[in-house]
Amino acid sequence: MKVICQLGIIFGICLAGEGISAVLPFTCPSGIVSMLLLFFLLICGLLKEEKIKEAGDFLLDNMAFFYIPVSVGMLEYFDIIRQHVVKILLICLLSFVLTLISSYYTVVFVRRLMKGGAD
Amino acid sequence: MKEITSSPMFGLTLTCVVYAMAGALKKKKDSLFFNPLVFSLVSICLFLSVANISLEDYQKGGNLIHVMLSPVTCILAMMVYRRIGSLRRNWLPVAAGCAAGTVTAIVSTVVLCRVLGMEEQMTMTILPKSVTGPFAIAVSEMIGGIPSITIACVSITGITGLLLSPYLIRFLKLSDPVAAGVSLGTSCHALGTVRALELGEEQAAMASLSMCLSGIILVGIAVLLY
Repeated sequence: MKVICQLGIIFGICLAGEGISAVLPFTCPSGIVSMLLLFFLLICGLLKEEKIKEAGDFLLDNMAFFYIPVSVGMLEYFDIIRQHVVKILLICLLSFVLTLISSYYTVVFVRRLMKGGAD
Repeated sequence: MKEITSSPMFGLTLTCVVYAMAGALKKKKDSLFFNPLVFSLVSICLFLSVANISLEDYQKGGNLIHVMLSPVTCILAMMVYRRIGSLRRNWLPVAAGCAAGTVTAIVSTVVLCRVLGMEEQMTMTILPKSVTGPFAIAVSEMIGGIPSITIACVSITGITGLLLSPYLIRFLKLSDPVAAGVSLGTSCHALGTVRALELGEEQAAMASLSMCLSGIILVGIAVLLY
């Protein structure tokens, strides 16, 4: 019963997110709108974390499960993937290394800058 | 046979069974192949091809699970909310690191795709690969990519990160805990968080926070440009 109530709250927030997303003057995916909405509710204390805790943890812990159907959908594009697989691997690898390095040194740099300002 | 496979229960059962198997196997032997998503994806694809079952049949049940991606995205807010303390302490460096990482990911992907002669649609498909699933799918749909392949690229990036990050961290002497956490979360999402947890609690908190933040930044950029 508890988990059903909690899921109900989460679904309700998603529904509200879809409503808001439909009337926004720009396109923003409804899942993201619901996320910002939930964040707002938690921060303002309008919704206590305990009210969605169990259902929320269930979703967070099993996140990978919910991606399975969409990733199986790639069967449909098997030929495109086979054709590009080496390039895709190369792009993911190089881009990963660059991303890691750039965000690491940005954080270090900004922290140093802030420390310098504080002195 | 067709009666059975065309029931939504077929896709639901298959997905649950395979996911549970992945979990059980991972407990026995922690290997990359037993990453729940990779194992489930490979097994289901093999099973459907060998048994000659159409993707359409599988998706009758699959779509019921797919609907849950919206609540899964929504609940990420709870994760950020729990880390709000660490964000308050370091919000500027964390935000800057996520923004720089996300922009680097976009630019490097587009440049590499151009250099390797990828078509426009493939470029858009690979582009959101560094952020966590729900954001990647949302962005891929927005900018005209193929979400199913995007999620494969997300997994590839995550696994690359899981394998390479310990060497990179050691080789480049990336010792700052906050920066290491942020860069792992930004560059390889949830699997970066797994690696960050091995480095320490603080790194893990930073990584999961950055994983969400970079996703939001990427969505923001997509909203502005599209």
